[in-house]
This record gives sequence, structure tokens and C-alpha cells, in this order.
Amino acid sequence: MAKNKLNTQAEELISIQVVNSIDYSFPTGPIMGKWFQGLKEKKFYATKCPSCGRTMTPPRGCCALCVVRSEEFVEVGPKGTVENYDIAYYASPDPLTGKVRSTPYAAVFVRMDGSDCDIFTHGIKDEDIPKLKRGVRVRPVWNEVRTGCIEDMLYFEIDA
Amino acid sequence: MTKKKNRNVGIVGIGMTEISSHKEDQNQPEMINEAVRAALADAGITLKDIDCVVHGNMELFEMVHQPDLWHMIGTGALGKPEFRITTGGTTGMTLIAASDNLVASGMYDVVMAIGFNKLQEAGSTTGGITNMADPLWYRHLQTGALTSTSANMTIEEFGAERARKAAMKHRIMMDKHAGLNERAHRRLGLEYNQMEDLMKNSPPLIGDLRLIHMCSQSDGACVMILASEEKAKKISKKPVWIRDHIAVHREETASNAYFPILSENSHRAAARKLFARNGITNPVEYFDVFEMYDPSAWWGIEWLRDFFLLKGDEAIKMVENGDWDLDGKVPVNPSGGVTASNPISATAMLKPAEVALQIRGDAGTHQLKREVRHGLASGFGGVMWTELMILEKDLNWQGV
Amino acid sequence: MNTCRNEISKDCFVVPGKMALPNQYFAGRVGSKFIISLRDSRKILGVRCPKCKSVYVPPLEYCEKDMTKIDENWVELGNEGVLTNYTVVNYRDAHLPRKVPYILGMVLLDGAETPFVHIVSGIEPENVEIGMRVKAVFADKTTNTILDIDHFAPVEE
Repeated sequence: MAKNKLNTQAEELISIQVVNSIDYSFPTGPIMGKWFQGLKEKKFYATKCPSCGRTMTPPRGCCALCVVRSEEFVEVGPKGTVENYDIAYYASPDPLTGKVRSTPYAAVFVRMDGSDCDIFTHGIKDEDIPKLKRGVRVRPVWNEVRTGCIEDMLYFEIDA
Repeated sequence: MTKKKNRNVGIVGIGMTEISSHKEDQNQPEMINEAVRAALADAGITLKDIDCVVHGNMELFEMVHQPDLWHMIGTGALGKPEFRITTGGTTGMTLIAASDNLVASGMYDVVMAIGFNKLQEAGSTTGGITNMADPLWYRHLQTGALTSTSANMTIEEFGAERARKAAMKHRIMMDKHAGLNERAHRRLGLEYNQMEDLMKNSPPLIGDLRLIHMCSQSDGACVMILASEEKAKKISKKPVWIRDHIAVHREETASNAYFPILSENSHRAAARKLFARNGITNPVEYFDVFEMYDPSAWWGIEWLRDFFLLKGDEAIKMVENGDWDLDGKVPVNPSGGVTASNPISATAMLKPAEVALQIRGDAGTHQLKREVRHGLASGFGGVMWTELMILEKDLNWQGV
Repeated sequence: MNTCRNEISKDCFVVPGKMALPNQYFAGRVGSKFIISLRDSRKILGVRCPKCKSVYVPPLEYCEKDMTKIDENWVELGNEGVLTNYTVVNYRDAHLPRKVPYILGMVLLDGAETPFVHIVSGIEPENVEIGMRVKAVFADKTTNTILDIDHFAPVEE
């Protein structure tokens, strides 16, 4: 019996397109809170592990290698060394806004001076993208208005 | 440290959908159901024989919460015990590792593991993956699974020309393998004489990572049925035995991607520990096939060194010599690997599934010519989460 | 342990964030036929499993109980059914399809085995009763979703 058979020729298939957009709020907690308070004052705070002595940038309240609390803050930077980098020619939507940014832009993974085994990621000034390589020295460029968020720092630039 | 299993576990059923970029004619549960039916048919059993279902995917892509719940109409888990697992790209392998543990423990005799993703439904998988990064200070710069940090390091170590050639050779070899696999998603028909052209003209994504290097965005599901030794021998004429597996991950947050706090990455740590406790001193000699989760050709050539505990340029040399090819020392990814097919949470399950098919001799058009007795499979996800698994044709390693 | 002790809690603050991602969903072959029937013919279709006789609305490709292929056994259900349960939505949220208060009901269509969720309208929340008969009222404008049935309304006895 074929009476119920679907007509598969030029079959219409239904789909829906949506942008799922959800607002969040992210509590910093005291450790990351200290870090963002520091950015307001143009300072980088790391936590230091009381056991192995390594510094963590941005700070974390626990050293996962030693599994001990790490609540002692030390100041690191402001200059640092590029350990690695990603130059993006293909931009995906920024999940914070849903918008796609212009390319190229780059992320640099920076070991801040005084931070012996941890790295901090931020952008690099567009003009410095062609000069990027591992080992290059960078310094922060600060935003005029600082409110305690990652945009308090605009980007790194190469420290000539 | 030796790890003893409470009881042996065999793979008795394997089912997969075709992997493709478009599955508009199936919704999520229907796609899963196709693989479930295929696995049950492969095992020659029915849903009544399944004691427990383990289900997993990366949910940000389909934007469906609690997919285990509303996929019930396709999984066959109605009224059965069910677990849900999600460990990023590693999910597919974690599903098998967990199912193996569930059976080995004696908790269940027959477990069905289901891994899937329908990435066409994600507007942007890369946008979704950026949500793994800290929202306060890294998400705005995170580039998903796209990164050239690995390429940067390899180029620094071996020089740009040698590194770029090795990555492209690996990529073309993967495509040639995929060309033999009728289920593979991307079969581009690449030839080695296109190397120079692709190295120059493939669209750049991130740094030295070009579109041609990177894995696809695919739809597909994979289902595997695992059973206790006693049941496995009854169900299947040729069960494939899961000898051992290990999960290793690193503590770094997303900012520290690929920055070596520890002296070895999770792949090398996993391989070192797993081989040591199984008495495998020369993995290149021991394994007849390796199905590797290689999200990009750059990662592929870097990670072969780690998985086989090689030093310096040994792994790159083996790429140059064709030692990872189908007739080489260790055939890598006869299925075509992840650069060909990547329905993410099925991807890592396709690794042990493909190894098991090779061991059974049921891989079809991409069956290796050599006899396959000892297989290795890897899964990868997040910021270095490794799952590594040894599969065996015979139950004869207990004395090792 | 309280990590937000007094001397350091002054540093804690909250940063607003957002997650916005484009996404699409495919109804599949079987789901599409169901939606298209609502939209073009104002008929509610289900499928019947020839083995266990279950009738599924919305339809399935394979019976979830016995894996029998059922997507060719279409049945047309009436537009009327029984309200098997309900709730009154009283809180407001951006994602909700109606102004509150409105009624969400479980509607068991005549001939179907399982109820599905839809909006019940045309009756005050205080007058809703389990067991009352309701009827589909179709939308004037299509959205290619289940909301091509605008709501279910009480059947005048």
C-alpha cells in the first residue's frame, strides 16, 4: 500500500534559524577580582604557590600541580615575552556579541616578567602583527577609562 | 603500576552513519537512530539485550540542552539505565572508556555507547568552542579549535620549509586514505604534486594553519556495543578486545594552551604510562594500525612524535619516508582521520570503531592489506585532554 | 570553606556577559511532513506503529519501543482532544511566546496515545479543568513551527 508514501520529489524540508542569545553575569570571586582591580591601577597581580613557588597569571586560588591554596599575590610585568601567538585571518562570531570582527587580528600568549611558568593572553596592536614571533618583547597599552575588566588594557605592543 | 581489569570487555557491535556536511532530511534523534539500528544489526542483537546506554555530544553546537532526554525516541534507551558524558572533542572516546569500565566492573553485561554531533545545525562551531574560554579575560580572543601555535613551534624547531612540507604531506596522505573510505566526509582527491600549490594558495585561517590543514565540520553518529567476555563470545564471532585505556589531561586553562608547564604534553604522558604498564617497549613495532584524533595536519605531525614516544625529528622523518602510510611501519588513519570526517562527538568514537573494524577485517574498501592484531586509538579535546586505548584481536596479553 | 572572607571580599565583583550564537535546527523528513500538513492543510498527522499499535504525535521515523520503521503509516488525527493536564504561566520572560498569564496544556488528541504540550486559550485560568475537551485553532500566519497551531480552545458543548 503506497497511499501514505511520502512524495520525495522536490521535497520541502523545514528548518529554523535562530540566534540563541542569553545574558549572563560572571562573578569574579576574590582572586580574579584582585586581578581586575589591579588592571584598574595598571598593575598585573599573580598568585604565588606557597609550595612550588610558581606564579600564576592571571591568578588562580589553587596550584593544580601541588594541590594547595595559593592566595599570596605578587606583582608581575608590566612587560613580558611572547611565548606563542595566533594570527586570525578567519574570524568566527564573538560569542559575547554574536558579531564577526574584522581580520586579521592576533592573540599573543605572553609570559609576564616575574612570572616563571604561566602566560597571559591579550591582543596585539594591529601594526605589530607582521613583526610577531616567539620571543619578542611586549608592553601593555592601557585604556584611558578603566573599570575593572579585560578591556582596561587595550592590547600589547612590541617593546622596541 | 599495573592495572587489572575485573573482567575482559569486547566490542561486539559497531554502527555508523555516513559522515556528511548535510543531513537536512534527518533530525537529531533520527540520525542517532540510524547508527543505533546499524550497531544492533552488526551485533545481531535487539534492544532487549542492551543493559545500559551511554550517550554523549558537545551540546553547545546543536544548542539542545539535555539531549539525552529528548533523543530518547532515537536512542532506544526508553526505560533503561542511561548515562550522559561530555568531555569536549574527547567525548566519543570517553564514552567507550566509560562503557568499558561499566562492563568490566560487573555493573552491566552489555552497554551501548552513542556519540554524535550534527554540526550543520551549529551556525558556528568555532564560535561555540570559544565558550570554553574564560569569559572575563580570554573569550574575546579565543579562536576555537583553530590555532597555529603548534605550527609556530614546529616551524621554529625544523625550519619553515621542512615543517610546512611535512604538514602538507601528512594532509594529502590523509586525503588519499579518506578516498578509500566510502563513509568519509571530505574526499578531495588530492595528489602529492599539489603540495606547493596548497602550501601557497589554500586560504589562511590562523597563522600557518590553512583551510586545507583543518578538520571538517560534519554531521554523523557512531554507536558501539560492548559486552563482557562471556556475553561477547556468545554474541560475536570476532569480538575485539579492549585491552587498556588511559585518560590524561593537563591543568592549564585555555590561556595556557600548548604552553608546557609540565615537561610533556598529555599525549606523551598517556602513551608513556599506558605502554609501560602493558609492557610495550617499541610501539612503532608493536602496533599494526593507529587511528589518531588529528584535528589538523599540524597537530597530526606534532602528535605522532608524542604518541609513539619518538625524539627530535624521528616522527617528521617518518612522515617524509611514508612510514605512516598504509604500507608503512604503522598505518595511521586508514579511515582518513579527522581532517576528512569530524562529527565531533562521534569523531573520537570513530577511532576505536575503525581500529576494531580493521582488526575484524571488516573495514571494507579501506581494509589494510596486512593482518591487524594490535591497534591503537586516540581521542583529544579541550586544552589537551587525551584518551588513548589499546585494542587487541586475541585475548592473550594477560600474562604480560 | 568560605573563599570570600571579609578582608578580600572587597575585590569581588560581577561582570555582565552574554552568549550569542547563530544556530539552526532541521525538522527532518518526517518532522517536515508534520509541519507542512499543519501549515498547508490544517491537519494534524501522526504515525502508527504496525507492531505495537502506538500512535505518535508528533510523528517518529522509527518506533521508540521496538525500532519498527513506522514513518509510512501516517494517520490523520482529529483536531480535537482532551486536556490531560495544565499549568498557568505567571512569570514573564523574554523567551515566552505569550503575555502572561497564559495556560500551557497537555493535549491528548483523539486517537493519539501520548499528549503533547500546547497553549490553551479562550478560557480564564480559574475555569480550566483536567478532562475538558479542546480544539486546535490554527494560526493566520505561518512560522513553520508547531505554532502554526495558534492554540487549543475549549470545545463548546
